[in-house]
Amino acid sequence: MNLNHTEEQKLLISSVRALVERHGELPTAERRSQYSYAHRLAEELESGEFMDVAITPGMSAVEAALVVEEVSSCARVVEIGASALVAPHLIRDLPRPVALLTAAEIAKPHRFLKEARSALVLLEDEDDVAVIDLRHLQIEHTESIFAYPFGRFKEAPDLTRANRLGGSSAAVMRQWWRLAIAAECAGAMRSAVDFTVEYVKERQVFGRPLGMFQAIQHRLAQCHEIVTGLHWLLMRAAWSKTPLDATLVATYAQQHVQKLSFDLHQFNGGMGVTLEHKLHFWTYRFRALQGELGGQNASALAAAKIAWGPGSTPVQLPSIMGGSASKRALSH
Amino acid sequence: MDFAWTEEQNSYRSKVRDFLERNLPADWFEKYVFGLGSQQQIEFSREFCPRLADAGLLTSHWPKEYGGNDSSLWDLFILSEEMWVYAEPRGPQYMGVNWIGPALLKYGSPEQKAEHLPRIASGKYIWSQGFSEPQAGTDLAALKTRAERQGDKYIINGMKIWTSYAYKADWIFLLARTGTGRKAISVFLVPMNSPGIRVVPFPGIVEPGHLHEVFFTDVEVHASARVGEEGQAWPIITYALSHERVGLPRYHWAERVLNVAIDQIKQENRFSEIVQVEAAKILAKIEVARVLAYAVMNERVSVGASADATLPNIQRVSGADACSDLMSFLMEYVPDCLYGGNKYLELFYRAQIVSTIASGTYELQLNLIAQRELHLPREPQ
Repeated sequence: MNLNHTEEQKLLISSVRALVERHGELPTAERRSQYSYAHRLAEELESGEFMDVAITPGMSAVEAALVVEEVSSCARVVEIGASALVAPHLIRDLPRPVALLTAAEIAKPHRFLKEARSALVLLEDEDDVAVIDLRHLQIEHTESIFAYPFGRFKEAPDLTRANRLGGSSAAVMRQWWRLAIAAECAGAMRSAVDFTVEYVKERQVFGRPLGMFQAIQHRLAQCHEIVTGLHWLLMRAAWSKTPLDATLVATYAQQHVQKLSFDLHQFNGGMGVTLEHKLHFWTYRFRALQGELGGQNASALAAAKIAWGPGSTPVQLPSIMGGSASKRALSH
Repeated sequence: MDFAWTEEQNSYRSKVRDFLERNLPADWFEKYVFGLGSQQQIEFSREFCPRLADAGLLTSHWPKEYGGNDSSLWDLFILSEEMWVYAEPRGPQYMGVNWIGPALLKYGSPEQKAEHLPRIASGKYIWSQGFSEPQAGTDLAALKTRAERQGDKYIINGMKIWTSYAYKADWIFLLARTGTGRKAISVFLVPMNSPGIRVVPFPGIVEPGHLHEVFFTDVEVHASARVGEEGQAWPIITYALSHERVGLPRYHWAERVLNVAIDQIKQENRFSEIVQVEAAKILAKIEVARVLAYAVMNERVSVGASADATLPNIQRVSGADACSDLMSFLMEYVPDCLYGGNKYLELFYRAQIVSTIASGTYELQLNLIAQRELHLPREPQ
């Protein structure tokens, strides 16, 4: 086991950070927006082939997850999770940006639908994935409180005429969609915590910095523990490429959205509800991800089905511990 | 970044498992496991650990000159994971191996290393931890036990409390005040058979034999028993506890406990979707504690152990959260484990009762993360 970044990974991270720094600064006109789409950042990520690292020789989903996490730490938004983590595992050369949706909710607003050139549609009932070219469809922007752009079809496309990926594509899409949710949460949550930590060092109340109060220190320490743990579980899920790890990391990310949203907005107080304060650029991204693909309970149920469902081996203790040894009991 | 175990590490894990299967008695679970502080288990550890040492498995991560094999810290990590699957047959000796030995390797005098490290590496000696006092638990610097210098000796008076394994320990890693400043504290290595030491057990909710008071009345120790300079215990304590805080792979034990509990629930046809969702949320937290433990060990292997490292504190918090959720899960869905249903589950539950208090409370971990990692300002003293 060696959890240090390789030289290539260090270079990749520093390159993405440099891009995010260069193009992440909020334009004055967008400082009081719900969200700010970083078109130049998206172009540079595209031309630098950062969205293809999952299928670049010598690289893998770990590098793709690192890219998504870093880009998602930016206050400005680009479509990255679907392009860098989901699409490469399903279909090559899909025009980007990419929107992810489920057939059951196709008529509802979806993240990036208006900006996207392609959509991957999860067909739950048919256990398949449909690919839609969005360039000739009419899509309208949907106003929302979230810090992602949302759009909806003026008229829902006919999925029976869409290209199908077949095979095990539905399971593959679910797995990488969950990983993308976790990776986007990881980046946005990290920045929201870091932003708040700096804020409470400066903000004075009762004659001292807000961050001096233990009641706040402890909860921020918990928030930091959550984002650190999420990062490492994300890395393992990207490395292992197992459906179980993907469901677990999505569960963990989505189950902690509530705590981070509550604590971080509490500590930013009234400033946190103003659009000029920046906090919402991250918190209202992971708020939007809280319910995606069914949310924490759907992710947890999917994890449970894999871990303990039909086909899983009953767990027994080693013989010396009062049971008969099984491979599963000593599996790690 | 590679989460895979190497062939050598897998081979080492197999070696440990084989050793356990061959060297634990058939009635290990029935007679010995229940009660980590029980007389049977402590006595068994005195037989078992020398065999472990003979097999080169007790302190393989130590330097060769002190009874080790200079092997990777990952070996210690793998060893601890496997030991906890079998409810830690090393008994209290994990303390000597995991943190007292490493603390002496870093801060002990050549004489102390020569005297104590081979003993710990032999597996024949049991240590206890003389830290907490009635008014000094989390706030260790408030301790009152004093060591007065008289010529080449110290005279120790005071008391310790909540001391695990004290009634069977051979030595105690003792903290005593040697000056007037708040942190004027020194570490002493004291034989438990010294005249003037009295051990009194008292009942607690964890298990019989777990809690003791240790009284020190005019206990004489030679000045050479002091570790490091006088009044310089703090870096030693911090270093030792940074090892202690990840010393127990609770996540590994917790994963097995969760699986055993689920098997029982399934057999009783109660594994509803609500239970499945709850169980998976706990599994996610257990796996976070696991990967954080790997990250801690990776940091230690890569850059060495440091008293200033905060990843161990972060890992400890994550493990506590996972285990706390699991304890509640057991009480909600398999409460019979605490009245005779499943001793493996009961053992876990009882052992976790103090896990957020012992060797640095949960809140102390949060303090350390807030101040050392996030650099939030301290309240004025």
